[in-house]
Amino acid sequence: MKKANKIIQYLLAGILFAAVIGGALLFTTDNPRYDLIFGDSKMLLQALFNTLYISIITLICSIILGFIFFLMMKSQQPFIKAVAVIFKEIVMGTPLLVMIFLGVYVLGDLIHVSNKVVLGIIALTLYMSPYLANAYESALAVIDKDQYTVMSIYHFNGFQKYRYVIIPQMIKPLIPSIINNLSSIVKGSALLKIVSVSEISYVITVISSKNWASIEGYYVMWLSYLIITIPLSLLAQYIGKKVSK
Amino acid sequence: MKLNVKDLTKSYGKTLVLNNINIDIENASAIGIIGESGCGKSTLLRQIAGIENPDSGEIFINKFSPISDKKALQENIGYVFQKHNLFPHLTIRENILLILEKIKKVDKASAERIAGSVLRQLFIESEANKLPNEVSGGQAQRASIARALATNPQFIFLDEPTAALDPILTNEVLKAVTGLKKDGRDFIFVTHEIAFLREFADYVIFLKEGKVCEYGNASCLISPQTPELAEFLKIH
Repeated sequence: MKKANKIIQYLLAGILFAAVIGGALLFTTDNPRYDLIFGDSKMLLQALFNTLYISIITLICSIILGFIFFLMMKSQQPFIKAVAVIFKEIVMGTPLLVMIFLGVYVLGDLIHVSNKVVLGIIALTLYMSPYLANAYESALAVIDKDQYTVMSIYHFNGFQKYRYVIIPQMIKPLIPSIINNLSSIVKGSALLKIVSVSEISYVITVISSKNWASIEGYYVMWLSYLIITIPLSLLAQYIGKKVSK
Repeated sequence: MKLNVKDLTKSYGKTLVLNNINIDIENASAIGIIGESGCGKSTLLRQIAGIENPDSGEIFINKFSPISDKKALQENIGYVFQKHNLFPHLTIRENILLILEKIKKVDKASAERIAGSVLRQLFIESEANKLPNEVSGGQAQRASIARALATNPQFIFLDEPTAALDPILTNEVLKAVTGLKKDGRDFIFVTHEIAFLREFADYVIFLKEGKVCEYGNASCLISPQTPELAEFLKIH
């Protein structure tokens, strides 16, 4: 009964927001022309696919690079640790827009790569990796210091510590955090439009500019991201609850 | 077992925890370390086991030095903590097999055989496929003792293994430990259980405020030489 009541309350709140958003969609302009935006559905679907594709590749690369940064931050070598810590501070203080500019133009020139999707993924990966390293750091907190003492008494080497004890215990608390980071990547990928990568935000901007329907374009863009990020957020919460049991 | 500790000191930051400890014990099979909470008992045990390095001084347990031959000593140690400290993501059996198969490189069949044997010895075989959080505190602590025995160590270190248990589970674990004495292993242990100490220890070290106040064979529990130990035994 209590659970049913809670679901009803959530549904009511959901309907309230849907009404506000629906009202905004219908009444911001006198004569909304969403048909113009949805007219090119093939292009829109391709953009949606590109956003997901870029985001998933970025997530995979960030999981790997983030883990490398995490290991560097744990290093006994002060120089290696300092490189990771300073890089993390620089990236976390850099706006994503600037990071994409640096990745696509500066790094692109430096490594002689002109493919903007590849460079965009590199920029997003460099931007997200410190956040993933932080997620690893938080997940590591589930392992208490006595477990390290046990490993030390039995002389586990570094690989054995991570392979058999640390990583298996880090995975559960990491999953919700990784899904939340995927959500951040999806939203962050919108800025790739400044370098003309044909993801959701770029394609919708192109379609709406062509039809003089920018307001409608931004609304469709907003909903497109919500369609991806809200299920991801719910999934992260669901897994988080399961894991904490 | 022979235990020789010379001029041992250990500090954590500015707090001096062990202050010039000197002990010379020969032919012991079970040495109990006792004293009030915070007197340095567990710290002394950790120095002897080589888990921590002292600030100064020497330690020898038989021919091994935990400072210079740490690895050789620890190959011969089974250590049981206040909390069970089993790896929580592995079942009780897997906890033992991990140490044997992956770390000590014992072949699978032998590892299974040894795991079965120590689990039976500690009467925990029926719970072997459960995770540590699925069994009682006493069962988990017995599983932890089984893991400590699996590598067939010469020395068993017990750091207040019943500190986190209620009286019934304490009794269950102490009974299991008492049953191990017949195997001919040597024990060094920290405890608050004086009745267990009387039954189990043949030597006793009594610490007070980081110093050895009294040590000697277990008869000192009946006729203590210092008023401090007499007072401690009276309270406990």
